[in-house]
Amino acid sequence: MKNNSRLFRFSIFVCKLFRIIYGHILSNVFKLCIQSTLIYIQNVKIIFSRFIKTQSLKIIHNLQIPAESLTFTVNYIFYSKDEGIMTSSRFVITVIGGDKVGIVAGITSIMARFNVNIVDISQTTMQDLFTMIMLAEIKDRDFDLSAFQKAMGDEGHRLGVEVKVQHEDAFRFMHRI
Amino acid sequence: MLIHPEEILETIQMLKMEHLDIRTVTMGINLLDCSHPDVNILNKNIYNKITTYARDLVKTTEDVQNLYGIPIINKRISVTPIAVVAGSCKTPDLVSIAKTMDKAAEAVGVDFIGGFGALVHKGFTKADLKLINSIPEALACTNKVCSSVNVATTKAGINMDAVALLGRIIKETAELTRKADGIGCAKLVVFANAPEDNPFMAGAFHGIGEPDCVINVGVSGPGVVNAAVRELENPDLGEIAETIKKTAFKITRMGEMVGREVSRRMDVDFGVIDLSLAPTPAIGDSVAAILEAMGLERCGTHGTTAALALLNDAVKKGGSMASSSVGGLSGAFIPISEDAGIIRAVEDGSLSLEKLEAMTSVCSVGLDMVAVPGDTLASTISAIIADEMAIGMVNKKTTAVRIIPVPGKDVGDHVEFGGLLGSAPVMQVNPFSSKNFIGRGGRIPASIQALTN
Repeated sequence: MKNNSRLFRFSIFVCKLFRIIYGHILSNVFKLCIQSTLIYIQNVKIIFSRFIKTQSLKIIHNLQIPAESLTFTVNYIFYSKDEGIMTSSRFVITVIGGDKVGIVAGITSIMARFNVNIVDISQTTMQDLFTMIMLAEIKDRDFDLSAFQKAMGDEGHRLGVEVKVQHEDAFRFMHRI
Repeated sequence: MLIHPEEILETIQMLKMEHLDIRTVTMGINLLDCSHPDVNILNKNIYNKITTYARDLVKTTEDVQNLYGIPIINKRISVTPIAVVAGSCKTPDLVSIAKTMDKAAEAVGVDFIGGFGALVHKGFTKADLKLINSIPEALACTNKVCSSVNVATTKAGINMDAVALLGRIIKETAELTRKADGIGCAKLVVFANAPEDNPFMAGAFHGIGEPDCVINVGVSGPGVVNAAVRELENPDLGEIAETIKKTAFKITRMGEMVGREVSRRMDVDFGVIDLSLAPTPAIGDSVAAILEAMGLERCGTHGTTAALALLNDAVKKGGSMASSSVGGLSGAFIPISEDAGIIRAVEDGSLSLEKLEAMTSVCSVGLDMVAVPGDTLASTISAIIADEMAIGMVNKKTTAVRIIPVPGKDVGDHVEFGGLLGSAPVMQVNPFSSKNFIGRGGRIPASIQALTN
């Protein structure tokens, strides 16, 4: 766990934590005030939480959580302030469709093939549809975006879900000033 | 900075279900430096300039579309009004220039090219007259060329000679495109207070106060506003206005982002974002549907003008907060043929031409894509134009008329234009004559509102 300038200290905010599964179910539905810090686990930068309302102040860190078990909802995506407009190479990948086995495996294998790093991942439902949202980072300078979009689209088609790869600014501009 | 997954899904839903898109990225190109007395050299200059400047427009726009995952429906070009560019030409008609524009538009792959027009609000030059008389043939023998004529401004009044002439030109244009139900008229707009930076067709042209080359963007999004209003539970009108404002803000931000990225990539000035609500024939993507969501049984009934005034104002307030480069028409469009809700209102007998005219006094454009019987007199069409121009002149706003006297069709018939232009029921016009009034000619003096200095 790091706490340098890139990692913000966030103000306390309210977040719905649905389930946490790590070996055992830690709790049922929480409505907690949490203060988040960031930790890195297997290249997945996950927002983690410090529980305020529970008896003891828990900070869970240094956990080797396999990606498959990340079934809790990560509610916020973070940016560092120094990333100017249009200069970031981060993309929001949304996967929407009927839930079935192998969606995450299929999608992430394509991403691995294109050397696309997952910065953040979350899962929720929209109108009863399985919805996975990933914030991904592309480091290669000569990255072929259209080929990646096509491969992701084809994989989505195979899995029966709709996959969109959009630059993060599409969301940042609409919802933030 | 944080983005909530719900916000991401809201955007996705807007794009997926509510038809949010960028209606057009329009490149404005100045053609004044192409001017030459020999029309052949002029044509060559125009072709070269357009194909050089707009060579990468379509590709760049598509790249940006893929980058953000936001559909950009049309790519267009607007040019300096041809009557100004061709001022020194000796040829009797200017149809060859329209053909050149069409060829250039075809070569760079854009959907439309606008600017085959003239500014005659105070009077005609020789070139203006030549151009206006060339319009019917120019629109009949080209596919992508759009034409607009500004016949009135708040400062100058209404040039009634031009209004009378354009009534005849519109009839002639319809006649020359008879086989396609007078579609030529769908590419011809008559304006009062025409904006110089409008990206929307058919009225787009590149004003003479504009830089050499500029990118203007027009957004669409009635479907998004409609969905947002319908989601409210038993709202009062203040809450509706607030919701529209917020939604317009989001839509406009999207447009601004796309416009700036396209202009950055092409190394061209970013001009304006036009925050008009431009409907499409798709179900729900309708301005009438928004008015009906506010509580009207059918668009066109009593209360429609008030509801539209609320909508238009809220859109402008939200949009102007989202961008400091708002321009063009910026308001709600109510084109009959392009809006499924308005078509239904006309077919159900709820919306008449008179009510439509009243609505145009509180929203951004005028009588748009109105189909009338083919035997409507030219003087009646001119009178319809004159009414609309008066609304624009007195209220210091843009108004326009795009009217199609469909050859061989009468009230109750239906016309199919296809694509974004949609389809329209033929509307009833007042059967009494305006011929003597239009025949008087001259100019309606500028109203007292002009004296602002």
